[in-house]
Amino acid sequence: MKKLTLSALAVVATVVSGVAAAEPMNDLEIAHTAYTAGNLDIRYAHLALAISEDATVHEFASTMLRDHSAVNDQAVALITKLQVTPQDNGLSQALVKGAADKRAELMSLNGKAFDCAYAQNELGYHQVVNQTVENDFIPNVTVEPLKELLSNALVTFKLHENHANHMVKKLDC
Amino acid sequence: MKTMLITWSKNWTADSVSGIDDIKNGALCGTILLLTVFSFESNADSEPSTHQIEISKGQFLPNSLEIRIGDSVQWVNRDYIPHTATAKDKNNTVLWDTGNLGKDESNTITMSTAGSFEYYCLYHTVMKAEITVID
Repeated sequence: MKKLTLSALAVVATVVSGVAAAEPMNDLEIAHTAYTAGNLDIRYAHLALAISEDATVHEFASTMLRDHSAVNDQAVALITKLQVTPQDNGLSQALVKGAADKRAELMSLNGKAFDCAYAQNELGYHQVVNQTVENDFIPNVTVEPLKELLSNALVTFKLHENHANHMVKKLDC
Repeated sequence: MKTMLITWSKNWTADSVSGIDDIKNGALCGTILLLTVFSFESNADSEPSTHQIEISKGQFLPNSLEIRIGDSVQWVNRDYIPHTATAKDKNNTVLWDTGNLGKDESNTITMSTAGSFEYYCLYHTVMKAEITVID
């Protein structure tokens, strides 16, 4: 399971870095991808709440649902205020495809196998997303309110990464 | 500033006419006691205070607070995401809890028990802080 998860993490990291390195993303593409990443984690959380029976997993998933919804609501408010439309792009599409594959894998599991797969995916997902937001998105965004939103969101996502790490250890995967 | 006490007493003899004469002839059997005590306002005598803790960027600020029994603490959340400020005892019984605080929402709790209380956010348990309540 650990080898599979590390492989999955490597795939996500490769996809993200590969697409991100292809050509620089503009503000609207960054906004689209950040919003997409949040929505995908919300979908993972719904799955965990439906399948897992573990209190630790439920507590984490509830926080993901609560926090990513709040961050995405702020993103929508900003986009509405700026009267712009986020642009779909290769990285968003790669994340969507990867998440669909991961959800299919998770739905085939139950019990501790599901809990560990979910927890380890959450840790890997947040690690990769946080690196991308911190090292690629924030430095390249040109619109100040979007930069501020991403910076505030990154604080939240790092809390999540820390929380996911505790969850993995507590589940003794 | 309060003037706590001014007390003086004076015993006159039957022969005295003025205070100065009394003092001169020593017949005065008097006791003049003058006590003036000025006390400055002390915490023990003051009204309870309300202290503010800001929740910002996933932290409680200040992270450590010392207050007096009867004081109140107001938590204000400045983050986009919701937080709580929750204290439990070693039996996991909730001692006090702000409840869910959305952005710019606040809640105030009066501390009526002395002691040292570690508290945390229920949603983000890595967020911890401490309040010491002095009797």
